[in-house]
Amino acid sequence: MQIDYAGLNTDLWTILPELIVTITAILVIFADLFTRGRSSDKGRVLSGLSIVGYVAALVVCLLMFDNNSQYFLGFTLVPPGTESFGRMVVVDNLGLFFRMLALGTSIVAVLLSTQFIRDRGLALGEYYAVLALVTVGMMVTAGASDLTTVFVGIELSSIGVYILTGFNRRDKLSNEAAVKYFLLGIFSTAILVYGMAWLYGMTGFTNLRQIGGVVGAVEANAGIFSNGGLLLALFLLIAGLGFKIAAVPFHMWTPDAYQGAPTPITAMMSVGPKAAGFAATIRIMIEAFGPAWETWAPIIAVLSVLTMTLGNVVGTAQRSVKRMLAYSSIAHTGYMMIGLAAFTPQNQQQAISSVSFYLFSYLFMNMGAFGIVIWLQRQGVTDSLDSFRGLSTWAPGQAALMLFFLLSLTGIPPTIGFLGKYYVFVAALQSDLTWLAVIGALNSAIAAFYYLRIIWYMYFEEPRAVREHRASPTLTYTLVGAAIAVILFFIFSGPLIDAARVSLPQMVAALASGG
Amino acid sequence: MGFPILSVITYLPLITALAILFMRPGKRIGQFAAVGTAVNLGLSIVALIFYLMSPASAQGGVASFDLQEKFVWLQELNIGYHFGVDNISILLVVLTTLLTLISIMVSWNPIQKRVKEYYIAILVLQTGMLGVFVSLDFFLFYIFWELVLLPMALIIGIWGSANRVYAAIKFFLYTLAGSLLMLVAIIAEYLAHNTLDILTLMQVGPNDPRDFQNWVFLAFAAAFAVKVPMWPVHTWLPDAHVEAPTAGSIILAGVMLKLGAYGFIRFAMPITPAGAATFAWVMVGLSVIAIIYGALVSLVQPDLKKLVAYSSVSHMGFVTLGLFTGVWLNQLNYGDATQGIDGAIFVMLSHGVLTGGLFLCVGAIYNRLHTRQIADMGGLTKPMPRFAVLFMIMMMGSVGLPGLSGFVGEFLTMVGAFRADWVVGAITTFVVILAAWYLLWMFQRVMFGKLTPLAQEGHGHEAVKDADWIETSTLGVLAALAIVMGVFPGPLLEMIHPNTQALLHTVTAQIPNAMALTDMLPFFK
Repeated sequence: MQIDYAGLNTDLWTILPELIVTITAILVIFADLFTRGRSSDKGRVLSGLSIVGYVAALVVCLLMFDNNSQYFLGFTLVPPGTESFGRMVVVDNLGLFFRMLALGTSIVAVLLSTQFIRDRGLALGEYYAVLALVTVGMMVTAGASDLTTVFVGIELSSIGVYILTGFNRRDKLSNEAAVKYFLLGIFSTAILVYGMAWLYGMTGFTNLRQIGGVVGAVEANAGIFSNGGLLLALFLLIAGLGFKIAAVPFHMWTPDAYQGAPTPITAMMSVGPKAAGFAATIRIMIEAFGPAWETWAPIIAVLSVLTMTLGNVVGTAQRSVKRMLAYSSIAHTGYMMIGLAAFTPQNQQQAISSVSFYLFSYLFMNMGAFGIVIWLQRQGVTDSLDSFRGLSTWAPGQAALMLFFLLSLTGIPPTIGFLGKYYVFVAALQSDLTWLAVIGALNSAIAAFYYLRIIWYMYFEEPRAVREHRASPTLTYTLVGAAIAVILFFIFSGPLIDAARVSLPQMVAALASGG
Repeated sequence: MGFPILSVITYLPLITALAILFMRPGKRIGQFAAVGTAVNLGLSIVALIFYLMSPASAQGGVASFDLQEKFVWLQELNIGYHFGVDNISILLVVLTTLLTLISIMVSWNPIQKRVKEYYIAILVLQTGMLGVFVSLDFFLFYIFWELVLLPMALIIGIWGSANRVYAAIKFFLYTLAGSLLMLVAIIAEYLAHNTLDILTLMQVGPNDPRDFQNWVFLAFAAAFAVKVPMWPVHTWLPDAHVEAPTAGSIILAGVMLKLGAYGFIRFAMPITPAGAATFAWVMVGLSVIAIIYGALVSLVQPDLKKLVAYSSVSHMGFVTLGLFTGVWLNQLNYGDATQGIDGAIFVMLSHGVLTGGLFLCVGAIYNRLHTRQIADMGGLTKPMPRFAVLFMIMMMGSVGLPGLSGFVGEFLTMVGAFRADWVVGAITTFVVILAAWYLLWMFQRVMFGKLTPLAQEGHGHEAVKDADWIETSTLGVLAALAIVMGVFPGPLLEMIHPNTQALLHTVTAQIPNAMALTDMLPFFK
């Protein structure tokens, strides 16, 4: 690999968003050292600093976004498709879309965290700094065009999330979750790296497009089944990535980790790392294994059916809402995998943009639902289903917000969750996967059962005791904002769908030319 | 595009609900909701007049749509915002606003718990139902179709009686499972024609390949059959009806059951006519089972409300029977036989009026005695003479007494059935005897005979009073409608006839395209 040192200056521009967030992380640590005063003031400074950093990075990403769309201003910082650092990092719309998803997740996570952390007296500086580094990891994964970069990004974000899962160190559950997550996590990473090693060994490249060229040649020559090593690499990579996105049968860590982690972190890791995992999956499956799509797409389809069905069926039996949302998150991975399974060379734009759009819709509705759990925990109750009993009588506003998020998770209009499902089903039907769309539709009906159970507890049951509210303005405004986003992005979803779609052209071209 | 009257009618309840959200709790809320809905009723009558004045009202098929509003909503997915009515849907719009007004009025006294949420739910429900009837874009239609679901589940689950939660959840899940399959069908149509505009699909849909139409029809039928409800997916209905508060039952019976039948008329039959022709015999068979089954179960019901609910299953069986005998294969040899479909649409309207009225009567009795068991009632004519007359009109209409609206529709349906196949006709005619049996018997046990202690003293030892002004006026309006529709069915039938004819032409043109029974074996392989 040749690194062009003279070009390093322009290379740095391509990772400007990552640099901004990295600097934010460092600034947060320093600010933590040098600000004095009460912890609430300190929290305000640190969270404010984080959000400023994330928003700045988000703006830069928006400016870098390719301008062949009617909704985006034509202001291109770096030419689209630029590869930098010796073809390790790529600036394309897909990467930018997922970087923005990571940043959006972290912004919401910070807003959900402020009160939660203060209530529990957790260390502020470390929390926000690690969160920022996790964000950098997710962003690096999103923009990776090389196996090494994918690995570095995934590890950076995973290690941070392990730490954050166990962050509430006085809580036994949190510790247990962190240990389980860590052990299973490194195991899966090992599988992933092993797959990467096989891939490098069989093709001689680490660059995804160059690998794609070799795979294309193999596929054109004798088919991928003639090359056992390549096939093994494919299976190992699917297993490793399946762990990151919580696909069945690699989902075992999810319920415990989700239940034990501090709730804002649960909210974050249900969206951010999942998005990063999907970014890596899309990159590896399509850029490297794209020519062999006829081999992996059916595997993804079968895994998707297993994932949806297991998530939804087991979800119906949960009493803890956090655990229920964990299984729901597994099920949603299944819906997203429908989009991926719908991949065909003719239909790639539809397939991939449906996954991106679904993740975007998932951000608001899922983090919103966790936000209500955080609000309830602030009121001094647990995350069990019983806490929701009669919520609509003593907190009608919060109950109504939860209702919106649950409807969106179920996929009922007028919410963005419906549009996400619709779009995924369109992709499936376009690739003649009608059976998969039908199973997805029936699964939504099963899922409705446990989402409905929360609605039933909130609206049909009488509360145990009427409670006084403890104010938490930041949280409330964030949740209202998320609910507005859930409806507004449904009515005015044009720009988003467009953004999810234009994230594709470079990949299409890459597949056609074979690297 | 002139004044967007349909959008105003559709969203006015939503705006009223928003206003209620910011009102202080109190008695005013119910009256405010009623005023809002009354304005909406007025507007929908104005829309009806405008529609009747336009030349489109004499047309059939795609040409019959008027008062259209159309603009691009989601360009990326070819989704448009398209409203419009034809001579069937405008009538259902008027029926919806009328029955919602009535159900709001009868809720004033019984609903004392969480009043604000209650009226918000009813008003949102109204927007959903109206939206279903006026939408001419499938995506938009689906949004309103699902919008109906939650408020109704909440009305049953919060303000219903003892077993309400079970009923609410069952209702929600049944309907949702059906509509998700319809969603897949909608997407299939979108991918086949790259549009979701219903008027366009009505023109291009019939030319689709036969297999495609069959599958899409089945998926549509999954959604619509649950809503109608057809046997064997009717089981949510008795639970929902029995547990729902009176207003909920009126809306359920009066409007929501019509959503399913409307779906068949508006979407399943014109867009996938070959599918409709293929499965006509299945639908006819299920309808006949529903008619007999509903009547037999009604016969042995000890619970008054359940009796009316099961009679709904039977009556809605007439609707689907009328629709599908109209397209049945045998029909081909009998020329232009529109009686079945005409009758089905008439039954839809008349069933809304009559069964809505019957549920109102059941609610009135329940408010006084706090029981639904027929055994506890008796001799109610004595303390409630005025009520007895109105109840009898509703009951007789439901029996199918000539001169009341129930007779017209059922008679036409039976004519259609006889023309298709005399066995089917004979069975359904026989069931009318059963209907007379269970309804008259019910009336005798409830209203005549000896006054039971409960019927004398009422619940809480307050003497049973005759119908108050709310009950008298609402029941009076419905009774008047039943009589007018029964004595002068002509104008209504003339109004719906062009559309029925167009519909039948589309479908019969596809009958050669339909699968014969013998072809069907590989289809189900």
